[in-house]
Amino acid sequence: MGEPVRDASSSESIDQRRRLVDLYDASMPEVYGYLSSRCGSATVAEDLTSETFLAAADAVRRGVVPDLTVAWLIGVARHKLVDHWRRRERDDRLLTAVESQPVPDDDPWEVHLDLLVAHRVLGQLGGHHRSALTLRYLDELPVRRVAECLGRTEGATEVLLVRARKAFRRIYDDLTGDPNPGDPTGGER
Amino acid sequence: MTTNDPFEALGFPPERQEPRARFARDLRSRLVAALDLDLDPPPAVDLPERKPTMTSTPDPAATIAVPYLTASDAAEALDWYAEAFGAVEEFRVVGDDGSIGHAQFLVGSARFMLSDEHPSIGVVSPTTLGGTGTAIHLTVADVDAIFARAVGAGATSLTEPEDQSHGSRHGTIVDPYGHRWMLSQDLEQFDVATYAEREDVADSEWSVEISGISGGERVTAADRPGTGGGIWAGVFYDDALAGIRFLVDTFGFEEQIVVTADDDTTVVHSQLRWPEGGIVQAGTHDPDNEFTHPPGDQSLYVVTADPHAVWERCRAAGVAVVREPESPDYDPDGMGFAVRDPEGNIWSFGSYGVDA
Repeated sequence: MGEPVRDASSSESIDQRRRLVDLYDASMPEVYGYLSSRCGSATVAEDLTSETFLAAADAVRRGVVPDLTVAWLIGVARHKLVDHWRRRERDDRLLTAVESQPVPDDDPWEVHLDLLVAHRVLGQLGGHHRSALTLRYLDELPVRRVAECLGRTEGATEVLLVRARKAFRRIYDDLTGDPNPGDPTGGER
Repeated sequence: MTTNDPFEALGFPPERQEPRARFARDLRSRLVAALDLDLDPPPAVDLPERKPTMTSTPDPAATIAVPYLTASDAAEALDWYAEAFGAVEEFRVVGDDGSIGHAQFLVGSARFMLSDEHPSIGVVSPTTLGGTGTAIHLTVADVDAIFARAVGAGATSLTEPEDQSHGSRHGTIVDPYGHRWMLSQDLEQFDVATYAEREDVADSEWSVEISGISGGERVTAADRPGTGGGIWAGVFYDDALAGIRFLVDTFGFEEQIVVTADDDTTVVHSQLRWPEGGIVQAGTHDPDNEFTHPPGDQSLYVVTADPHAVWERCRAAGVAVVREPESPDYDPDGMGFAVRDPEGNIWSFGSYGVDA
């Protein structure tokens, strides 16, 4: 052991580090389950779970963990998920085009979502839309928290959510064979 | 936000989901390393992939050749072997279609394997083949009783039990699945020389040819003492018997076996065991035998936790010293020395950094 250059070698830090391993033993399946159910791929879920825990280890060593709990780990996992989708959408040239279009009206949509179809639709969305909808609706975060996770203002996040819902609805209607996609009254006629 | 937001149906709180055990294990190791911790591995019982621990105790029945039988109806055959031979079933592996992919049973201490026919992979029974090229020689305690039981259960008698000149009483049957069994009961200890001299053998159209090394003593692999494997060094002497006496008395080798030729002085084979492991084969140097070397040509190293004890014995015997005892740099607590045996071969003894 060398000189204690930072508090990483203090007994308090060792306690924290041991607690992270304990947390891993107790709760890793929860983090993995969170990621796996959202990204729909075991391989990606494994990668993101690894990233999550290694980032957690780094945070513990730097002494910047506010609260070493499963909830905090899920928060880290959420960021990893968003990062993952963001990486994937870098190649997506459509993004800039979509972003520059005027904000569509957020039409009311009277529909009972078929969850199986809904998850397929999420998988077909661009990363930015998928992130926004996942955080807002699967994770049930308030818009303020979604904005934090995505590094956007609340206003920009609201706009993104409107676009994301629109994009979602377009694909969902396609998949379910709605004869009048985009019709504000949907199947209510 | 609309009051009736259909997207609210998507709510999905985090749910536990078990990842692959291998992944969980690997990531845990990475995590422990990233945290600079020195932790015990996780309790293995939590791993879903873990298989029941199998015993590591060697199973004597598994180290010998095991007959693997095929039967036209394996389930029926298992019943038959139980009835006829008192077979004890160990387990069976049954397919969805009811066929037996594998089964094991014991007759006494002899193990057998058995399956149904699987012609696509060449597994066919004597019934299908119309005969068998192999017989199973089974030693039993009471051949007449077993023989009668087997025939009573439906086996075909080929030869009734009869005393044989090789010292056993045996009879042969073919079981209902086409397998030929030589049921044999030992009456006396078999000895091939005695057997060859027996009148009915000596006078028959058959003669017995006994294999084995020349010289008085005939040694089979089974007669040789266990050695534990490893590399065996050869060392040679003009007077090998004297050399062996020296190696045993002075150095402390243990004599396992010494085989001499007809002249009773030429050592054709020996095994001298070093108590802490290793074998040397001391033998007589023979200029015409390329496997032997002239005495004095050899240099051997012996690892021992107590080189001092060997040194004391060498000093007491007045052995020629090549190198006085010293502690090498790499092993300051250890010691080593080198001496010559009576015919000049160099022997180095030392702890060589090996823990006692």
